Amino acid sequence: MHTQRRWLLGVPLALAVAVLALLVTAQSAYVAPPYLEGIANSFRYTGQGQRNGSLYVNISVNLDDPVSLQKYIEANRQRGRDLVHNGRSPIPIRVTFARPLSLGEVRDLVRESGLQVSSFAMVGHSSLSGKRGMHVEFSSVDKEVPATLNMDPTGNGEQLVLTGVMVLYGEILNPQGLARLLADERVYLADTSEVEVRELLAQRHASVVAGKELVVSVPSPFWKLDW
Amino acid sequence: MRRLVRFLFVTAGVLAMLGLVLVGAAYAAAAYRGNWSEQPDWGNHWWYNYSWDVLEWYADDLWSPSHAQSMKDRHNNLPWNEYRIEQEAYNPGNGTSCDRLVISSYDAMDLPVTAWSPENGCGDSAYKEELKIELDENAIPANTWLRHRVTYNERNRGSGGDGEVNYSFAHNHDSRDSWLGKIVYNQWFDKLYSDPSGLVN
Repeated sequence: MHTQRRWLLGVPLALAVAVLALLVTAQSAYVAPPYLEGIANSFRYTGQGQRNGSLYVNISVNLDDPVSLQKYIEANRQRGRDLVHNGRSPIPIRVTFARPLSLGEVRDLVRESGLQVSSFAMVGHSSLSGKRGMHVEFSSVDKEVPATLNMDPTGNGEQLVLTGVMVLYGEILNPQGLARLLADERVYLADTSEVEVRELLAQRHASVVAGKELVVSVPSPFWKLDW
Repeated sequence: MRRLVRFLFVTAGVLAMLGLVLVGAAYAAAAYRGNWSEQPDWGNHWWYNYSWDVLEWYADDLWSPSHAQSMKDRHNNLPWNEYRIEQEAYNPGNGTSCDRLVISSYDAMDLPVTAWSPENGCGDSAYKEELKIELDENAIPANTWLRHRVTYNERNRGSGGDGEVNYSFAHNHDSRDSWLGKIVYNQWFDKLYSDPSGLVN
């Protein structure tokens, strides 16, 4: 009877000690990196701390839902007009074209709009299967790109035959340049969501983003378009 | 007649075996590490190190039907995950192999993406070793090899000892990623081995 009572007292005590030890060790072994999330008018966003100390911010839009996509496009048109009106610069921007444009056309547009391009994507098709493909250069559009690129590590001779430029990443230094892009019918989406998400982060998550480099990922619907 | 039938059977068998050997040579694939139900199941990588300080790292990924569906389910419903591939030309665990392979271009064949972000993984912030590739989840077919390639400029060839590159799968709601594998190279950027073995050609 005496032994049984000792057991009855001992088991919960041992369990409590074990749980406490688990909590203490778990806390010391894992410090969660910064994380944030929120909802804007036309997109959702998350921010994840990276090993190098920066914050990777992901803008999320349901590109498969025509209503969500149209709302996102409209929100960007309105924000673009506001940014032009306010005279704000520089403006981080992603441009998606309605159809592939030649490098020459894009160079003219970039010159006319004062867009500083940091990377650009060209699209094309497989020489063998017709499958879709893409090529991204992390440079300005002045770089020469061959018309075909070898995509064959196996010896079957597959080439990516490029048809034109579909996406630009860059920065607008003069708001009138944004007006030029917004007025161009070849531009499917002049995306300035990065401006909005940076403002939201500063307002809503100031303590998390303070002093951190922000890397903002903005989705382009280019894969859904007809090319 | 029986001799002809036997000849046809033997010939067909030999051709089938030859075909399997050739396919095997072309696709020496390996099951990826990691245990996420949304990640690609299989990988097949190529490593081309050129004497003019350029390196090409090809990655072919294949999702099984259940993994592709799992990825789509969690993208289209709560928690609406946005999935990405993280191609890390360094060792993210230890912060080593920094500033050796700097991204110069990216290509994809049949791999639908929505965004790309070159980032500094470690070391000098001027050198971008890591490429985050955001996927267009609903456009990813199952049971299909989807190819992409990152081209790098090599730095400090012939010095610095062995290095490694890593390949991971991640999404925007989890601070952890699913580590899929790595390739280890020597100071001349020649590949030494992969983990899992058989991942790299």
